Amino acid sequence: MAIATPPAPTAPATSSAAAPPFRPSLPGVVARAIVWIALGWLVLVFPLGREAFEVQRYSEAVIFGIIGLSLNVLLGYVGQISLGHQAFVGIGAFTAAYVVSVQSQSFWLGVAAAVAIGGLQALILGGVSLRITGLYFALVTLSFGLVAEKNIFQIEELTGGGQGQPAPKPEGFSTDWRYYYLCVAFLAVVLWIDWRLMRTKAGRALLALRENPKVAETFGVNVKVLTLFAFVISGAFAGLGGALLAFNDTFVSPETWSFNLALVFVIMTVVGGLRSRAGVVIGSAFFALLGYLLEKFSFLQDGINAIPGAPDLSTEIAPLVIGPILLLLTLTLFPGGIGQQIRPVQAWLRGRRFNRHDRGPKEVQISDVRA
Amino acid sequence: MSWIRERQVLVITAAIVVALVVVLAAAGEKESLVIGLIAGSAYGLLALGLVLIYKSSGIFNFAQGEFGTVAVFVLYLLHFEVPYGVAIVGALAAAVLMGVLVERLVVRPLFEAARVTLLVATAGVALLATAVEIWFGEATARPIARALPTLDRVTVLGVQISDQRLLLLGALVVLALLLALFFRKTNLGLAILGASQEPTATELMGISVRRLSTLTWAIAALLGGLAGVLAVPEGGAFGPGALTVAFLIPAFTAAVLGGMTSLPGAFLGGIIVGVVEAVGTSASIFDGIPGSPGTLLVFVVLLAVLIVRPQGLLGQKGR
Amino acid sequence: MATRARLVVPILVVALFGAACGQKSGVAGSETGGDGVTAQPTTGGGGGNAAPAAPAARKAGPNDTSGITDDEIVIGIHAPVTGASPIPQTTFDTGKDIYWEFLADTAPKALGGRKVRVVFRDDEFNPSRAVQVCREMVENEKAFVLVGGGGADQITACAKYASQAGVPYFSAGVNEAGLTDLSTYFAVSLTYAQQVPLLIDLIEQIGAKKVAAVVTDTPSFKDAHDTFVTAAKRAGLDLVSDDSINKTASEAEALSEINKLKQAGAEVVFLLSSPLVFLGLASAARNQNYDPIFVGPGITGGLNAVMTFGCPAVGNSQFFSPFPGLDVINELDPDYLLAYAGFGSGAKADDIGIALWGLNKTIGLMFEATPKLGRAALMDTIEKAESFASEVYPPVAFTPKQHFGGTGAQRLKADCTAKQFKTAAQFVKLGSGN
Repeated sequence: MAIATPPAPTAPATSSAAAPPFRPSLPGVVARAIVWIALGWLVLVFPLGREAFEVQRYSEAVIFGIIGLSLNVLLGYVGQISLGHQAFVGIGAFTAAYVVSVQSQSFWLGVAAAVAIGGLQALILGGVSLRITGLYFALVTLSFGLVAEKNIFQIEELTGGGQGQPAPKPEGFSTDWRYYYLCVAFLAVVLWIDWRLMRTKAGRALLALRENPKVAETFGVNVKVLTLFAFVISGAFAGLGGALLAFNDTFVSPETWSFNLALVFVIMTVVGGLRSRAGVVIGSAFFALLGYLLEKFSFLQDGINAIPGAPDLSTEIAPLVIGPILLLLTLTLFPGGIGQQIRPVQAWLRGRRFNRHDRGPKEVQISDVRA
Repeated sequence: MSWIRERQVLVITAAIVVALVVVLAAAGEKESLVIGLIAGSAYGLLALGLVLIYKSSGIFNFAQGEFGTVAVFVLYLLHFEVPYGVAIVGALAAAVLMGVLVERLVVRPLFEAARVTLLVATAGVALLATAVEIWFGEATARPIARALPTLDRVTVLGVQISDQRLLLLGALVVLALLLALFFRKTNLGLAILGASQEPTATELMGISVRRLSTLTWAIAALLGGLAGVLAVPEGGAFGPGALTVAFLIPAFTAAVLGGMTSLPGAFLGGIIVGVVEAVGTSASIFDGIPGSPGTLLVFVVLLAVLIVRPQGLLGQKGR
Repeated sequence: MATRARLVVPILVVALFGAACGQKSGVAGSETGGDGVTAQPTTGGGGGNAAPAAPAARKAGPNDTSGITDDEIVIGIHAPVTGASPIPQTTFDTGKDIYWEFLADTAPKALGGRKVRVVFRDDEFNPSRAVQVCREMVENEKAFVLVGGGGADQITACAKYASQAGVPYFSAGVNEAGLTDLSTYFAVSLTYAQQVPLLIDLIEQIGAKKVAAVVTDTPSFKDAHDTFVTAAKRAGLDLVSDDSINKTASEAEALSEINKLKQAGAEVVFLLSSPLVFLGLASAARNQNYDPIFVGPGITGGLNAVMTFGCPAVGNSQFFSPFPGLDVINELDPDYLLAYAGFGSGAKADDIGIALWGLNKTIGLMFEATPKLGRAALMDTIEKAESFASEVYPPVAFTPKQHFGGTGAQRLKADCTAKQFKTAAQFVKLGSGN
């Protein structure tokens, strides 16, 4: 039974086949249409009226969505933690910047190279450390992240060393607005690939693998090949995210890819809610925009500044303090993350009945050390 | 049965130590051995706390470093007011308090959650602690005095070891042995181990698993605090997140190298990481590696050990 | 039911694509329509190209006055207050405004009666972040000029952006690599490479023969490093060790490096790194019972912070600096302490304040000298003026071909009894000897 659990977002909450199909009433259809249009407006129209540097932040949020989905493949589908994801993203960013700035090739070739290198390094790292699983594997990725930071990103030819590498935006997408829509399109492609993948036999096998690798193996699932496959997909998405991030900033430097960023990546994915595509994208975008949101809605910061005895919280430090507090609150109060909370809304938007208690399948333990 | 296990530990430890000494002495890197011992002792002490938490609850505790940093901050604030010895007690008390708070407010509500959720939660605690340190102080470094007012040094193989460092090394050895004995010989230690492997059965025996959890976190925080107050003043300065930034990743590497469940393993792992880092920096054959070659070497060693022995050097299978 | 759900999702994806495509053409329209937002200037990889010896000629453009109104001039300044090697935020926050507050109070007619408003952004010690905040300060906060408060790589990255955007950029002298060909960049004190002859003189004066170089591993410092190595050899000094060190060196790395230097017998160590790395090396040296004399070119962020906990490990160090120490500032510019008493809201006057005071004062002189203040006019004036003497920084003089305008430096020597860097020699001129 556990093996047959379908992927979360499209999973019917209660598979009571006997019940008559629910059809929303006319007002229901209108209400749903209004919400859909509002969502579409927020993503597609709203940025048009904003300043360029703000749109740059929105693009970053969209790209973080891609990175969140990349991590979700590993963390959500395979149950392996990567604490070195900043390295994968960073190597993608530098590859793209290198192809465009040093080799003077096109943007598209740069992105393709970043995706390929992302997948390739995942293949190598995953292949070498196939025997190592669970939290031990997390440590390998953690250590790899440090190697990227202290060795790979110090290769002057590739990264420009401490001075960084310029990454001019591509022809035709040189304004922040156009580039934003390019990022949204890439996010849509990633969402589509992710969705298709989970519907294939390999996708279902992956989920089975995550719940119990031993049982999955008994059912003829090739655990090693599948894990590696998921790893490559995740690496390729991460490479893409890195490339897009590089051109968004028009400049890449080694300092960006620190261990703290790896933590932010894991945190945004977990807060988003593992295996919930919508949740992960929302969670990632939220953490990408945290500083910006705090600037726009200063009441949170004011609230903290009202605490007697505490020194004033500057705009530089506010996201550092408020981010982890929100994380801890989410985890302890809603361990399923945003994805679990928005499940009823998602189902409703898809034309089903609003069921407040629809919380999806219960979280299962990720086995710790499968040595 | 148990004496075979113990001998296995002994044999592996001895083999590694002898191999390290022989190889390094032959390569003219005997100084790196001592430097590694110096730097690695701090990693080892932090790793002890990591192993303790992992052994008892299966959690990778990313907040371990911050127990130390918080202790150093309290030490810094207190030693303007009271004698250093009193300040150290206050600092350790603060670390323990933080450990208990983390257990009550974060770990306990997540008792049933996946281990990855707990990993993320402790990472969140570390980030929050660092941010609060920046908030109440500044992001810049500040001075910290040593515990020992005099600076005496011992020369070993041409490298000087300061007296406080010897203290740290001593603390590390004594604590690793004490904790290992605690888990083998005392009822409480056995209860903690039992609680981690069979929580239901432990409860059935009339032992409160939750109370044990608080206790373990308090001990781990004490170890973290001790690592902080002993290791940090040697550098003369510290900033927010000091131990997380400088020591946490090497400490994790040390713990995993040693086997994650082995307390002597944490000690051995710490020394190995320190030595490998030092060799990477000083040996001229690694000069061609961009950045700091030590980091790359540590990664290669970690990968090699885990591939050959997935349970780590001194770890036991199935625990 | 499940079938329906399956159908809805692909349709939505297609719809999303369709909408996105439709919107793209819409953007093109709004862009040319010009809704008050100036499109980003061409981002051609100008920065990545090989550096010619002199700044590229600026395009003759209109005298851009963005950031200047009838009663205000906006200056954007970036520096790290978080990140790997931060500057204390409260001191920096006070220090960045004090000169301008003092000016508005004592000379209300200066700058055409305009007040200067300083906008500050944290670059997190990250060049990529620096570019982002510089862009935001120019586009959103409408900064007239940009100023780099500290950190060579961040200054280089932001200066490259500024030159593409046509915005004048000022900082104390850092590296030359990457900055040489920028038409809008001005170094208001000696660059690291320019300070090398002064350092060689100093080493000879100390009487040391065996020297070593330890330089942070970044291409920014390559020019200064190479210049030093060549000059040291020419001066007949024995370069016993020549190493690079990571920006975030661990304890083991610092110890190994010191051990290497000790075995090589280096008496003087030429150091080019952040204060934090300096401190790590110095305390490792002290623990090894080894006290070489650390010397180096100016660290732009102020050094006294290192003294409060670096002593006695750093007790033997000497650094060149664009600004003098606290001990002599009152002789050179009595206004500084006065201004802090008046506008510091209780903050202690320190050397970071002196660094900012001197930098701001120099920029103020440049503004004042420019008729019809605008970006082009300002840069023209700077290039043509004979020199700007702030009394705090040594005088600076620029030409259209030379944007590294420093002419001299102050020499600071650690004093562990006073726990501060004392001024050992004032206004040491290039080519004059100490």
